[in-house]
Amino acid sequence: MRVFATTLLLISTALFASAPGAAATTWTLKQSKIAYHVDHLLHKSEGVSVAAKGKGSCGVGPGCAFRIAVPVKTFESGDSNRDLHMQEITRAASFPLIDVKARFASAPEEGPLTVSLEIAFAGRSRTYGAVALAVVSRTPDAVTVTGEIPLKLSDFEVERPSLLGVAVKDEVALTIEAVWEETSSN
Amino acid sequence: MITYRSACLVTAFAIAWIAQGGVAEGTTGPLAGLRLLRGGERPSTVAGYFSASGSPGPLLVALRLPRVSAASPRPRGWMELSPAGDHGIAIAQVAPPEPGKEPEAQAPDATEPSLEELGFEEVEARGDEKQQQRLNKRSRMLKTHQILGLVTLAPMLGALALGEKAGEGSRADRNLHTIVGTTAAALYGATAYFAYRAPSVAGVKEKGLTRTHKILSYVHLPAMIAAPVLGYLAKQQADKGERAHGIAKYHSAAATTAAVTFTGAMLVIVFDF
Repeated sequence: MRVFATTLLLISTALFASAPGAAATTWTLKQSKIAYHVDHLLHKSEGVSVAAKGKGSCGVGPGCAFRIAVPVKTFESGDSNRDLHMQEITRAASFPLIDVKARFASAPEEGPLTVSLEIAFAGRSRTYGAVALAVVSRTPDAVTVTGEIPLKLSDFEVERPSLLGVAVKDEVALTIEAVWEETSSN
Repeated sequence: MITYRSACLVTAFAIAWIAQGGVAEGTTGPLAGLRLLRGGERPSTVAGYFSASGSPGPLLVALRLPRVSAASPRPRGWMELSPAGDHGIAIAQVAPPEPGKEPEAQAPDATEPSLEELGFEEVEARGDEKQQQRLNKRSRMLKTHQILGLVTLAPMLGALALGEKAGEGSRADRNLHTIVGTTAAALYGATAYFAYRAPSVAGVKEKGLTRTHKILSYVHLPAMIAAPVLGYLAKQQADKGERAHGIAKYHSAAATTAAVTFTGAMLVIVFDF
């Protein structure tokens, strides 16, 4: 038992030493642009929201944990009827927020960033194991992250809207541009 | 007993650490940097807090483990980890510690901020079923509006095509034009009904092509009301062998205006210009 414990201790120490984000940092979403892109035979449209709020931390727990939420009704496509119909099919009044929890290994540095996302939307929750984002700029106190989340409406049991009997494609890409400000470090 | 054998092996480091005197009795802290290593899978992180309830002794942690499968529930809550056998750890779900003694509030999601911390008020995150029903009803009615609009277009354009012949032709031609035109007017009325009775949503300003669609209705609605009235007068005059005169002579213009703007209203919804 003593040998076993000692072995565990050694490996444990190594793990702790290599654990990313030993210094805890917290981040706040300074500005963002989240857009969905819908593809129909006769239309291509996108809805944009700049109303997301988010916070995150690295080093407080294992790796980094970020959370962003955005009210569904803040997405604007330039057409009020389309927006309201989108709210209807996504059950936006019953489930007003798109809630995204992101986890990744270490504090974001410039370059590719692979994150695990848990997205709660339209009353359903879905985990995307490895989504490739990119840190396009990194200053001492801020990072800009961009990327695309390949959502499917069927993932969230959202009925595909149709026009003239033709439904939109199931794939609805969600693009993100987010500027995160480092709010504290210790 | 050991559902996450290899995972617990890693978690066991902390126990060993305590057993070796690495953590003083009563210490609590985050389970930072611990990773679950399940066979053949990439590591998953474990969120939680540990509490050394005795040294040496079992480690009391609040943690959330990955699901074994998509269908199974994610094990979470307070668990007691104890050495078991020669190589493993026993995980036993236990009641949460006494309030105030352990950092329960920060336990499994300590690193994930709450919606309140993000800046959302409770009312913003709460669902409104009545509003959802209103949206659903609105959508249903507008879908019916859309279908009826498409159906209306056929007799409307048909009446327009038959109109030229009706003015100069026989009574039968005029009767046919009247039937088709009346059908168009009736369907138009039903189409309009579903648009105007669809519930509106407070605080939403009409914009984009929907606004254009509505502005066009300010043209085709009066034109569509005028066209049958003027058509009735024109038919009476024609049945007497007279050419359309007075306001009746504007029947054709009113009907054409209605058909053109109605078609335009439909096209702006179908196509992006």
